[in-house]
Amino acid sequence: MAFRNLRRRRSRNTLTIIAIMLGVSLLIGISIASSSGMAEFSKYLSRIWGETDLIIRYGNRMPFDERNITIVEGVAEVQKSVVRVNWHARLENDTKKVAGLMGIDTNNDWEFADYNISGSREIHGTSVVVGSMLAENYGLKIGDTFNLTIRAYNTETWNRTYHYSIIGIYYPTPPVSSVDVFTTLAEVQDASGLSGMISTILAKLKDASTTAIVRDQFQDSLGLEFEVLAPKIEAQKRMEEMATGFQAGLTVLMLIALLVSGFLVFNTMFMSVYERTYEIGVLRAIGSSRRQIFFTFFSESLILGLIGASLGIPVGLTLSSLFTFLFEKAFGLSKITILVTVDACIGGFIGGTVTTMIGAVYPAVSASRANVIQALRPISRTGRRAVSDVAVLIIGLVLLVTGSALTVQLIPHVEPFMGFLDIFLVPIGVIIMVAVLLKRGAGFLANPIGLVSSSIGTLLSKTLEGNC
Amino acid sequence: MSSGIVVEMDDVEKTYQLGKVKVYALREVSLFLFQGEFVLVMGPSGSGKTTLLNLIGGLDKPTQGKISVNGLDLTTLSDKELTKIRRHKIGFIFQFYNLIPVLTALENVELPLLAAGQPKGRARERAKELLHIVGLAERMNHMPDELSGGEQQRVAIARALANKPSIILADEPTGDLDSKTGSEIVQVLHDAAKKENATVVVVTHDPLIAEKADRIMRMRDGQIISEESLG
Repeated sequence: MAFRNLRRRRSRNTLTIIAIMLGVSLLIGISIASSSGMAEFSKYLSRIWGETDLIIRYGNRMPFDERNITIVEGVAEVQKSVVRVNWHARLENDTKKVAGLMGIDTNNDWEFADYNISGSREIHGTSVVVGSMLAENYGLKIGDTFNLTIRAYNTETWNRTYHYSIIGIYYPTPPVSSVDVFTTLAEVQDASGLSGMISTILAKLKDASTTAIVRDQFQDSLGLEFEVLAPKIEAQKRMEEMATGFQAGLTVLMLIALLVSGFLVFNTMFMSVYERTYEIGVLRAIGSSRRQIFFTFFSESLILGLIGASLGIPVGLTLSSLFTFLFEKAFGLSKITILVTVDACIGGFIGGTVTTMIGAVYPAVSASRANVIQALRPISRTGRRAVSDVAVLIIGLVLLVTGSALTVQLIPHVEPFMGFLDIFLVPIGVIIMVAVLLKRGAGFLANPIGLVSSSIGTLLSKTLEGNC
Repeated sequence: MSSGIVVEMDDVEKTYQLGKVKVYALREVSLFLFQGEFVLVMGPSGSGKTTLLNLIGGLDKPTQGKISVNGLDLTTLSDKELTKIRRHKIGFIFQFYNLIPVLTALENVELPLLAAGQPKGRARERAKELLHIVGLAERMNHMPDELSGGEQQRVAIARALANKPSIILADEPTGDLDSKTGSEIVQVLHDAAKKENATVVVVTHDPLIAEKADRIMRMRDGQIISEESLG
C-alpha cells in the first residue's frame, strides 16, 4: 500500500527522490573528491620534500661549522642525516647572473639520489649537474662545458674561475629552484675556501610523527641563530589551513543538501498526510492502529529514501570526478587519482536514508495522531496543499536572496564558514524554487525513475504491505 | 430480531465548547440495540445522528454517561483498546464509500482482516467470500475508480463485514447513490447483515430504507424524540 501510494503522486515523489539523490550524491562526491585531493597533496609534498623531515641551516643562510652535525647525529630519533653546502658563483659569460652552487655528499645525499635528473648524476670534481632553468637560459646541454667564477668566503672578491662539464640536467618539482649547479661537497668547499663549513643539514627521522618534537629539541640544542625547519609538516599545516575554509564550505554544502533533502521529504510526506487525512480517518475507523498508520507513512518515506540514496551512489561517483577536476584547477595540481572508498558510499547512503527517516518522523507521527472524528469530516477529503507549496517557495527564495546578498557582499562574510556559502545557497535556492514551480509538469522526470522504483517497490511492497 | 443486547447507552451526553458557549450534540440519550437488529436513525441535519454513530463506534467518547458494546464499557477503554473494539466488533460504512484508492476491491476488503493480524491466505479467502455475498465476485480485482458508486458501496459493505463484527454502523450509505442503486445497496446490506447476524445501525434521510428496518429512531436537537418498532 505504501508503495502504491508513492506511485499515485509520481511527480512530487520523483522530485523528492531527485532531491535525496542530489543530497546523497553531493555527500559522496564531496567526500571522495576531498579525500582524493588531500591524498594528492600529501603525495605532492612528498615529491617536493622527499624523505627529509628536518632541515637545519644558519639563520642568515651563511655557512656554519660542520661539527654541528654531531648534535643531529646524537639524537636517537634521527634515522639518517646528510650535509650540504650552498655557495654563489658567476657564469663567466654573464657576470650579472649569480648562480646557486650546491655541494653534495654524493654517497649519502638521499634527496639528490631521488632528483629528477636526465643524463648522469655521478658528479665528481668538475663533472656537474645543472638545473634545467640554467640549461634553458644559456642553451646548455649534456656534454657541454662552461666556466664558473666562484666567490671566496669572507671576501668581496671573486676568486677563481673553474671549468665544468655537464653530465646531467636537473628538473625540479615545482619547476623552480635556487640551485643552478650541483657538484661535490669537497669541490665547493675547496673552491670557495669553505673548508670544514656547511650550510644545510638534512635529517630523516625514524618516525615522522615525532618531527615537531625533534624540531624543538634541535632548536634548543643549536640555539636561536639556527633555523630548524620541518618543511613537510609545515607545508601540510599551511595546506590544511588553506583547505580548512574550503572544507568548511564543502561541509556546509553537504549539510545544506541533506537538510534540503530532509525538508523535501518532510514537505512531501506532510502534504501527503494532509491530502489523505480522510483516508487516515477511514483506516482508523476500520481498525488500523496508530502504529500501523505511522508505519504506512514511514514506509513510504523510507522507500523514497532508499531509492534516492541508491541512485545517489552512482551520481555521487560521477560528481566526485567533477569535483576532483575542479580541485585540480583550483590548486593547480596534476591529475588527481580518485580514491573511491566503500566508506564514502555507505556513509552517503546511510546519511541520505537517515535524513529521510528524520524528515519522515513528524509527518508519520502527525498521521498516526490524527483525530479520527476530525479526519472523517467531509472537509478533510480535500487537502491543503497550496500552503505548503508557498512555504517551500519562500524558503527557496530566502536561500537565493541570502546567497546573492553574500555574493555581492551585502552581508559580511564570516570566515571560514561563510567563505563558500554563497556558491551553495544560490543553486540550492534555485533548485527548490524550480522544483516547486515544475511540480505539476515534472511527469517527464517521473517515468524513467518510475521504472527503477517499480522494480524496487515490487520487492519491498511484499514485505511492507503487511504493515498497512 | 433476536434477543441479546449488543449496545447499551445510558444517559449519554456529548457537549462541545465553542468559546464560552456549551453546545449539546447529544443530550440524555439512552438506548438498547439488539443482536441482528436493523435500526434506522433519522432526523434533520445537526440532530446528533452522526455523533451517536461515532460514540457507538468508539471513535469518540461521551462527555457524560455510559456506552457498552458487547458488555464492554467504551468510556473506560484506552485508545488502543478502542481500536481493537473497532477492528473486531464494529464495521463502518460511509456515505462516500471511502475505499482506499490504491487498492483493488479485494484488497480493500482484506485491509481490516490484515489489520487484525489475519494470515494473508485466510484474509484473501474471507474477502472473496464477502465479495461473493455482495455480488461483486467478478469485479474483485478492479480498482475503486473502475467501479460504479453502487459497486463501491458494495465493497464498503463487504469491508465492514470482514471481521464478523457484531455491529455495522452506516452513515448515509445511500446518500451518494440514485434511488434504484440505493435500494439495491440497502437490500445487500440487509441480507449480508442478516447472514452474518450483525446488528445494523443506519443513519439516513432516505425513507425507502425504512421498509427494511426493524426499528426507527427519530432524533432532534441531540435527543431521541421517538422510537418505532416495525419488526
